Amino acid sequence: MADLQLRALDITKHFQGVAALAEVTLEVERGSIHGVVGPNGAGKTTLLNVMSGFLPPSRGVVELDGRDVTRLAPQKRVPLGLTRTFQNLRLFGGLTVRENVLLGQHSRARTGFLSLWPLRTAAEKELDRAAEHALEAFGLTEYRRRRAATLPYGLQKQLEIARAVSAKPRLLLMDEPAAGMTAKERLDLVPRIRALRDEGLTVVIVEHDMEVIGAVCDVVTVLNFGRKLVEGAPKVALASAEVRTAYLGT
Amino acid sequence: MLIQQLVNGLLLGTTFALIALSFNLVVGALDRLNFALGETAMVSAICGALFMSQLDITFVLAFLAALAIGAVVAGITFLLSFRFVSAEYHTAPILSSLGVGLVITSLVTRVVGSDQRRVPSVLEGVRIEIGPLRIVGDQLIILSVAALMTVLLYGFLNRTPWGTAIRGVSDDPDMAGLLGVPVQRVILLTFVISGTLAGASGLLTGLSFHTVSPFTGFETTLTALMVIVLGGLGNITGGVVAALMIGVIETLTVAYLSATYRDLIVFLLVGITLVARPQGLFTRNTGVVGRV
Amino acid sequence: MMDAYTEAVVIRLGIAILLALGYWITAATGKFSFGHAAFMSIGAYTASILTVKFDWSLETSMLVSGLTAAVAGAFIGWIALRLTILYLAIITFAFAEIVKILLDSWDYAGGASGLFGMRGTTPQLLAICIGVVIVYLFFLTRSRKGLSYEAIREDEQAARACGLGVTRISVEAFAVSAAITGVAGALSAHETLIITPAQFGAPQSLLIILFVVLGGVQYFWGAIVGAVVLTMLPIWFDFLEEYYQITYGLLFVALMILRPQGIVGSGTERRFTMRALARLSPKRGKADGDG
Repeated sequence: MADLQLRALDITKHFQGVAALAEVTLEVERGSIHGVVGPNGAGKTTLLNVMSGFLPPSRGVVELDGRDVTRLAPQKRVPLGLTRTFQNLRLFGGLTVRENVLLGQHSRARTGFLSLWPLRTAAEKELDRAAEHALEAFGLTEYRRRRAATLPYGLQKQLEIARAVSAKPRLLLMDEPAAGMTAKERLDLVPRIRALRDEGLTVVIVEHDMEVIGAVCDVVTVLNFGRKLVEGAPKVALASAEVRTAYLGT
Repeated sequence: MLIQQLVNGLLLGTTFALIALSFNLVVGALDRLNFALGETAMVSAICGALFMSQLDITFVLAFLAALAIGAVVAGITFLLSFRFVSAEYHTAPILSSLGVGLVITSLVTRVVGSDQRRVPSVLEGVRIEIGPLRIVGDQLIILSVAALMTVLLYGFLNRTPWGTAIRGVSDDPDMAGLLGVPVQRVILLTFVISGTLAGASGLLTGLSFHTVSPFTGFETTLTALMVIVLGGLGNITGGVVAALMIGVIETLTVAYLSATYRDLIVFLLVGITLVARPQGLFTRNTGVVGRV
Repeated sequence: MMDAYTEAVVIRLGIAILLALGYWITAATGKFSFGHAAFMSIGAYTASILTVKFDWSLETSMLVSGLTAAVAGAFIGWIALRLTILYLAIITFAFAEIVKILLDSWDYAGGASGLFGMRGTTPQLLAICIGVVIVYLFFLTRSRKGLSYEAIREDEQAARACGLGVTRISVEAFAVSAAITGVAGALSAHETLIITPAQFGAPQSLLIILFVVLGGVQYFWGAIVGAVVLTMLPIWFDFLEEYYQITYGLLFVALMILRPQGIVGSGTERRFTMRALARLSPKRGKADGDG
């Protein structure tokens, strides 16, 4: 029996009568990089929103480490080890880069009103070191005092991942990490995601870009019109006849 | 007499319906509220009353003037409080239109004084009696004009190209823009129409109480807000139904309980509605709650 | 020793500052209340009843006022803060109206004709209150709690994704804000010496908002700037007293177009240009979209 970290069982989601997802099941194995691909409107982001708690499913169950979290608000899934990024960056644009990372640590920190004051505790010092480490790891140290909105797009994407990782999640859901990136930035993305996995993170990537998915994923699920088309190793799944039809049309 | 009170309540409700329509049109167009509409109604009513009593013009002309004044004031409010206000600040249009309301109220009191103004009866002597039920001429006018305007609005929205454009913009402004709808002009038109409705409601309310005061602007806004929350923000039909309901409830409260509890009961009713059904009584989709 | 006139001005100024600082706390989370005068009146009536009818000291009554206002604030916040800004506006407006109606018909507290018999307050007491609030805000704005307020103001969805309990945090901020406003109300009642429900209507709520909006929400001392400017202007320029409503109205309109972030604060794109005025028909672009 595989070690399943996240299960989304028979998820159905209607928007005013239109089904965005129809009985989709996704099982994510611990320590894997799981890709979800599909053409526009296939329901990828809806599935991610359901898994992260931003949308309640019309029917179906979401389980995290065997625990039913279907009705749990997104902020309550963070302490359970699940964080996410957004397709169209959602940074705190008016706050500094470092503050964004500090906010990522929210679920691990005490938020009393002396928490950033010099008299702070050993735990807070530890978090501070972690924040500096995260800034360093994502190449953001020199921008730490800049307002997030003033960073170039590529760095903003890095910052969003840094913020999500700062919660020390065990599972990271990434919504189209490659969207809007230059060809070079895309190349850098692949080793970065692998590095996250090597640090013990399970990663689910929702992505339009087949190249990134093919290079980085262990398993790929292909959605089309809100239904699961195929699932399997990237080479096999992406080469299957159904996927070609869905992407290229008949 | 219960049935008489019910009819009075429905009549009061028709004037609420007009002002609620007026608010809801703007919510539809911009997902924003124009908090100056109560004052817009007040200024139209005061001017209409003055025209009738000082210049001695007929009700029909005064009513048309009130419509025009409402339209102009709402158009100016759009420019001042919405068009050139940054969309980044969600509270900006609220604060700005409240500011416009303050300016309107104090301008009116400076120019024409803070006295109440009399609105003369229109169809004196006309009186319909059906059994125990009595409807006087003014009530007949209020009912027919309000009904006519509501029907005209529905016709306009559903049958004419500009009406279709308004519904399109209210549905999805970006898509409507891509399809070649001049979005800003359509929104301006929506504000102007909402202003005429506010003007009509102002003068008709004045007619029903035979008096208008320059300090009722904010009260009108509050009543309208209660109505549209009950009916669901942006839900035009829901707003009309809720307006009639609130009209009846207010009238019955005044008749059988006490005038002091009139607003209280409505506020509490709306409060309970908000806790139980934030999307309003008559709205199934929660879309607008998320957007507004 | 100050003469009576200076003392009156100083007390008025202090109350305005306290109101502005209290309001700033909820504004910092991006949640604007449009009925804060209601918390002021709850505080004013609680304290006045305690001092006049029960002979309590002003200091104790003031603290009870703050507590009462905080409870009311938490209740209203719990109803309203889960919803969007428009609903928050509507609910806070209606709440202020309900408080007014109830006080109007409460004969024990003097009803519509008001409550009197208070014995005055001192600038010292006011200074202590302001001092305490400023120390609180100083630590708040340098803590993770303060950071989470800013995060909620910037982007609620992103805040949720970071694990912030947005509703809990904003209700807490709202309650603290109501508490400080209640204390300010208690002190103001002991300055005006007579209170009526009508004093705490929509114009008072709007004035409190204007303090903070004029100063800007980015830094709490911006609120102090706004309060000082708006309190001193009508004192320095007598004619403003008569035109204050029009002035405040125009100030709202002009500020929202020219500097929606307030006098103190940075960062916005300006929408008002002659070009935009000239063509009233451009397509609504992304920047124009509704949030």
